[in-house]
Amino acid sequence: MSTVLLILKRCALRHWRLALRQQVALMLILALGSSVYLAVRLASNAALSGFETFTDGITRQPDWTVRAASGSLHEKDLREMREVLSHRPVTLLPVVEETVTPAAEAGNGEIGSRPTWRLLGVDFVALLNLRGEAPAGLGANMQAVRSGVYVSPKLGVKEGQELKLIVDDRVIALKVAGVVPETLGIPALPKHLLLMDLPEAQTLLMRGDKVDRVEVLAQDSELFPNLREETGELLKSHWQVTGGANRRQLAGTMTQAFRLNLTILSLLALLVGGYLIFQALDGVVLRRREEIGILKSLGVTDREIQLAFLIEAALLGLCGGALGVFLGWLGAQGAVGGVTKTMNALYGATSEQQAALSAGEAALALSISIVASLIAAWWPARMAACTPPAHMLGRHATPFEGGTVWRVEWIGWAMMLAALLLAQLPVLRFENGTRLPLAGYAAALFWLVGAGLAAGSMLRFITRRRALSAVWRVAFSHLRRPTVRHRFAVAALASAVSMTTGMTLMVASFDHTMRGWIDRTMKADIYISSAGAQSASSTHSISAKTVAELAQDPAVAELAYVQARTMLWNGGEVLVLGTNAVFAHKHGLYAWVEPPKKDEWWKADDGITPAIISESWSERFGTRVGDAIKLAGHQVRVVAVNAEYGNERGSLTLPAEAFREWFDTDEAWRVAIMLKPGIDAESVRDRIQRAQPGLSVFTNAHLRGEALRIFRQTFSVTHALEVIGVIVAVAGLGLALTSLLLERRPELATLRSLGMTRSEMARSAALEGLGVACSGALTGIAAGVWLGWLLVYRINKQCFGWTLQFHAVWWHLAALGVAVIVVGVLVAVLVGRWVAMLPAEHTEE
Amino acid sequence: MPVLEVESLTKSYAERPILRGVSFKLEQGERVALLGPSGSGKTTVLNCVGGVGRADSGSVRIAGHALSELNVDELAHLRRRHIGTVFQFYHLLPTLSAAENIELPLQLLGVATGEREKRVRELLERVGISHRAAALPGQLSGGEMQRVAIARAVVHRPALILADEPTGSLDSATGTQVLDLLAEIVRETSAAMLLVTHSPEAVKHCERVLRMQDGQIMEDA
Repeated sequence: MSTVLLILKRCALRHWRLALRQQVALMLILALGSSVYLAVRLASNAALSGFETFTDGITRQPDWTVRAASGSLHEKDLREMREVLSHRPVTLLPVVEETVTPAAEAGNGEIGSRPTWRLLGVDFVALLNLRGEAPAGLGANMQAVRSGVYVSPKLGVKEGQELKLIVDDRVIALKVAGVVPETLGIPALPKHLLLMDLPEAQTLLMRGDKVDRVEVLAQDSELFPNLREETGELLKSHWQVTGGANRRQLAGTMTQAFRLNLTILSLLALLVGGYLIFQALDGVVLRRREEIGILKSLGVTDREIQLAFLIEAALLGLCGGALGVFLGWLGAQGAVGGVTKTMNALYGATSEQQAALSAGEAALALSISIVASLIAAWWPARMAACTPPAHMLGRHATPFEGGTVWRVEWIGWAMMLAALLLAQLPVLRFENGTRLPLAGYAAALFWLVGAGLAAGSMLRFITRRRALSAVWRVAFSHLRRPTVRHRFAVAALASAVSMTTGMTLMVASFDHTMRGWIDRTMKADIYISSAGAQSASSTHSISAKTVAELAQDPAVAELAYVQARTMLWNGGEVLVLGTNAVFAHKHGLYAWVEPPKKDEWWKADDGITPAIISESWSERFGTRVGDAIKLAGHQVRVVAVNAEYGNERGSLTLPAEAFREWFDTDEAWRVAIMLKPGIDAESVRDRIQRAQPGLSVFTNAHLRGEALRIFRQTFSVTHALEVIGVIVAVAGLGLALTSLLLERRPELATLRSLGMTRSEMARSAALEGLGVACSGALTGIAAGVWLGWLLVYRINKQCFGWTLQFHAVWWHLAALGVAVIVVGVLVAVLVGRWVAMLPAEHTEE
Repeated sequence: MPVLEVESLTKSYAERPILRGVSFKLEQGERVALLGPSGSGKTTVLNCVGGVGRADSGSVRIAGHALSELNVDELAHLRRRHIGTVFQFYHLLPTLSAAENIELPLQLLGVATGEREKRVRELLERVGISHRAAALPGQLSGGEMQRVAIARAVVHRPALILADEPTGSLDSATGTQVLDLLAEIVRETSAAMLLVTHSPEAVKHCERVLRMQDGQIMEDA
C-alpha cells in the first residue's frame, strides 16, 4: 500500500498540480454527468412532493387515510368509524379538499396557464383536540375562528381582504379571516393553500354532509402497543384504507409516465457522461505511459499501478461529484419550474416547491460520480497495468490494442439476441395495478450495449471500397483494423444515436397517434369545462343549471356532456365517466381498441350495467371484454375497450343514466356543443365566456392546439437531453480521436517523413472520424428503429397501456444522422489539424 | 549540381549549441556515412536535412531547392518527391500490409494504379519478401521489416536516401544482409545516401565518411 501511496503522492498529485486546468476539466466532465442526473431527479421530486405537502403543515403525516370507494364519505361513516374503533385513542380528521383558481388571473388562454390553488376544509375543533394547541398560530380560541379563509403570509394578502376564486363553474368571493404566521418547528402553510373550517368549506363546495377523506392519527398509548396496525385492520374491513404515504404513492402512479421519461433521459446523460470520463481517463493513461513504463521497470507491480490509478479516479470522482452536487442543485432550481408546470398541465394541482437537496440525494450523486469514475477508469487502469514496459518506453512499439474480449463482436450480437428474447417476456404486476416492465427495460439495455459492441462490424463494412488515395488508404487501414478506442467511440455514438432515434420514434408515434385520436374523438364545435379545471385530470364540475343555460343558447344545435368521478379501485385511483352514449355513437366519437359486439352497447343484455374501459384500465388491471367487475357496490359488464390518451390511470365509461343513478348527480365534467350550420364558433365562444366567467370555453381548433401543446411541453425536456446526449457523444469521439492520434504520433512522424502534408494528415484524421461517425450514426439509427419499436409496442404498452401507431419520421432520422456525421467530422478535422501541428516525435533528438 | 548541399548549419537547444557550422555536399550516387558519438549532433543534421527540423542559421539545399525558403507544405512535397528515409526502428505503418507500406509513397505522388502495382511487385521481389506481401508489420521479423522499409524508401526513386542507424535493431548477420541490400539498391537507383551509424560494418558500404564531434564535422574522408 505504501508504494501505491508513494505513486499517488509523487506522481499522480504532482500531475494534478502541474496540469491543473486538465484536472479541472476532468472534474467538470464528472460534475456534468452527475449534475444532470441530480438536477432532473431533484426537480422531479420537488414537483412530486407538491402533491403531498399541501396538508402536511396542518395535520402532520396521517397514519391512515380513509376514502369511500364512491369518492365521498358521509357523516354517518364518521360515526361508524368511531364505533368500529371503540375507545382506542385515535383522532379522526375529516377533510374536504378542492382545487380553486384565482379569478383575477386569467392566464394566456393555455390550459394550465392559470395558477391552481388548493382549498382545504378541516374540522378546526378536531385539529385542536389532535394537537392540544392552535395549529400554526390560528388563534388561541379555536372555537371562535372567524368566517373565511386562512392563508400563508407568502400569498401576500392581508386579513380582511377579499379573494375571488373559481370553484367548479362559480366565481365566489372569500374573506381572508387570517394570515397564519410561520412558526419555528411547525411545518409552514404552503403558499397556495387556503384553509377553512370544515362546515364552511362543505357549504362553499356544496358537499352537504360529505367529506373527501378522513385522516386517521393514532396516538401513543401503553394500553394499545400495536394501535397503528390494529386501527388499519379494523378500518380496512369497512372502507378503502391506505397508508400515510398514499398520496405520494398515488401521485407517483399518476406521474409515472412523465417521470419515466425524465429518468430514462437523465440516465442517458449519465451513460454518455460516463463515456466521456472513460475517454478522459484513457487520455491520462496515455499521457503518462512513459512514466508508467519507468515505474514498472523500477519494480512497481501491475496491481500497484492499477490500484493507484483507481484511487486517483475515485479522488477525481469525489471532487467532481462534490462539484456536481452543487451544479445539480443549481440546475434543479432552474428546472423545477418547467417540470412543475408540465406536471400541473397533465396531472393537476401540485405546488411549486424549491428543489431541496437532502443528505441522501447528495450522497447518491457523489456515489454515482465515484462509481462512474471507477467504472470508467477500470479499463484504462488495467491497460496501464497490463501493457508491457517495452510498449510504454519503446516508442517504436505498436500501440497496445486492449484485451481480446473487447474485440469479440459476437458478444454484441448475443446481447442483441437476448434483447429480442427479453422483449417477449410479460410485465411485472403489483398490488394496486402498478406495473414494472422490467424485462422491457432489460431488453432496451441489452440492445443498446449489444448494438454498441456489434457496431465495430460497421467499420469494416464501410471501408470495403478501394482506397482512392494515400489519405484514404491510411484512414481506411485504421478502420479496417479498429483498436478498442475506435470501438468505444463507435459504441458510444451508436448508443447515443440509438437512444435518440428510439425516443424520436416513440414521440413521433405518440404525436401521430394523438392526432389521429383527436381527429376521431374531437368533433364538437365547442368544448366547455370549469375554469377551475387547470389540468387534464381535474374533476371540477359544471352545475346542471349552467348546462341547461348553455343548451338554451340559440346557436346550439346539440349539447352533450360527460360526468366524472375519481374513485379507488383495487388499490389504485381510477376515473369513472358517465357519457351520453347515443350522442357519441351518432357522431362516431369512439376510438375502439376492441369494439362492442353491437352498436348500441349501452343497452344491457343480461341485466348487468354495460361499461367501456380504456386501454390503460385493461392493461393496468388485466380486465378484458366480457368480464363482470364490481365497482362502488355495483356490478358492470365490460363490453368494449376504447383508446384514451388523456390519462394513464385508466377510465371506465358508463351510460349517463347509470352514472346519474350511482352518484346521484347531474353535474357535468365536460360539455360538448355542436353549433347550428354557418355559425362562427369563435363568436359563440366569446359570448359564452363573457356570460360565464367560471367556465373555460374552447373552440375545437383551440382545444386541439392545446392538447398538442401540452403533449409537446411534456417532451420538451426529452429533446433538450437528447441534444446533450449526442453532443457529449460527439465530444467523446473528439477525445477518442485525440487519444488515438496522440498514441500514433510516431506513425504521424513517419507519414511526415514520407512527405505527407499537414493538411493531408488532418484529412486522414477527418476521414477516420467520418468512418467512426458514419458507423456510429448508421448503427445507431438502425438499432434505434428496433428500440423505437420496443418503446412503442412493449414498454409504453406495458407501462401506460396505450397502443400507439408506429410512425417513422425518416427525414428526422436522416437529419439526425447527417448532423452527427457532420459534427463528428468537424471535431475530427479540428483534432487532426491539432495533432498534425505537433512536432514530429521519433525524429527529435 | 550536388544532390545535397549543407552550408554553415547551426542549431541550439535551450541555449546549448548542438550544431556549430556544419557544411558538406553529396553528389548523385554518392554514399556517405555520418559517424560520431552520442550527442554529437548526427540526428539533428539528419532532421535538418530531412526538413523535419529547422536550423537556426545556415542553409540546406536538396536538388537545388533551399529548404529555408519552403513552407511546411512545400517541404512535405519535396520530401515525398526527392527523399527516402530508412529508420532504425523501421517505422512501418502497423495497419498497412508490407505491399501497402511500400506502395504508399507512390500513392502520395499520385502514380497510376497499374504502375504502382508493377513497381511494388518488382521491389518486393528485389528485397526478397514477395511471399510476405500481405503480411502486417506485426507479423514480420526485424530483418523483413527493414527490407520493407528499404523498399519503401526507394520505391519512388528519390534523389537522396537518409538512413538513420538502419541496422541498430538487428543482429549482426541480418544487419550485414540489410546493409548489403541497401547499398546495392542505392547503387542501382543512382541515389545519394547519407547514412548515420555507429557501426564500422556500415561504414564499409560507404565511399566517404564524415566524423562529427561536439556539433562539428571533424573529419571528411
